[in-house]
Amino acid sequence: MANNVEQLKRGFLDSVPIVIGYIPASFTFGLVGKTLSLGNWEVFLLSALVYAGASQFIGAKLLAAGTAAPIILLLTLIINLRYFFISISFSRRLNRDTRPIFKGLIGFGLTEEVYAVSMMSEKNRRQVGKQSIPYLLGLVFPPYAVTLIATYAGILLAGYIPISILPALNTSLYVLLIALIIPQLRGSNRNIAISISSAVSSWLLDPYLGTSTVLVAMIIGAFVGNLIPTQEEKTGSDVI
Amino acid sequence: MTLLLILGMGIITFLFRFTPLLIRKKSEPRQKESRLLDNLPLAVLSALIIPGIFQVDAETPRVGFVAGIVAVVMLLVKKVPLYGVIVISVLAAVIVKLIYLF
Repeated sequence: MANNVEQLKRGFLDSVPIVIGYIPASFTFGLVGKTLSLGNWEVFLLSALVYAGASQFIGAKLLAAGTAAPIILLLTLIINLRYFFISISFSRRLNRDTRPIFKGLIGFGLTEEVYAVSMMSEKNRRQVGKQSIPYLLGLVFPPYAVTLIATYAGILLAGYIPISILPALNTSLYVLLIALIIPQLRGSNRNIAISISSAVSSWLLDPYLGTSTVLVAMIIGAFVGNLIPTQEEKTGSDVI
Repeated sequence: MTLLLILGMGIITFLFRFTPLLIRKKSEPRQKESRLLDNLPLAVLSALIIPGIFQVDAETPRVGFVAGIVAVVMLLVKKVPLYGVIVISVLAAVIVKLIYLF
């Protein structure tokens, strides 16, 4: 039991950087949703039910533009398909005998940032094994809670807040991602190849593919990585 | 009607995140597709950062650029704790934005 509490606490602690990022992001979402003249409930439920960062913004824009329902659902399908791959990759960190209710809760909260932290944070990196359920619940809950609160605050305060400074605060989400990948790049040609190829293809493809860019770029990056032998596969004598 | 539509969007998103967690089959660690999955975390994150960070502030892409550079330099040069990296990079972004505003 004590160990479970300990794990839960570790999850809460690891969620702090995500929480810091989600506060301005959700607040902005609340403001932008109102600016698009959506109803309070519509804006709030997009955060509460979809809970998917950038695709919430796209959803809000489509709803405000009065796009036909089948098209909105189709676009949601395309934009959020990446979560399917993220979840496949994440599933190996989850004990297979986990109760479905916990799989449901963790799956619901599996945003990119939660995924990134659970796969890559410094403490977990060397650990090949599974993450404990209390840890994951502790990691998943606070970001969701602040998303709801900050979205609500954004809806309430829309019209009182100068919106121009908020984008600068939202850089924190990207800084978190950068902080998670930089340590991975040290001394690994394979990781550098993965990172550069997917970043560059995402950059180049973005004007053409728009919202499905991440999906295509991550597949390119994963395949390019396979072309580079890992450290163990090399003889070790070819160090320059 | 709109609320039903939002519920539909939520269900689609949830199913993508949830269904793979239900698979109970054991995967062989050295298989090729397993190696592809090993590459996936890094590939997703890299694709999310670029060009996303330049689009945070569509009017002044330099805001995201500065935050990114400051973060990378801090992470490469010195051992700064994660919170420090985030706070300092965001402060740099805010300062750049303020310079542009006034």
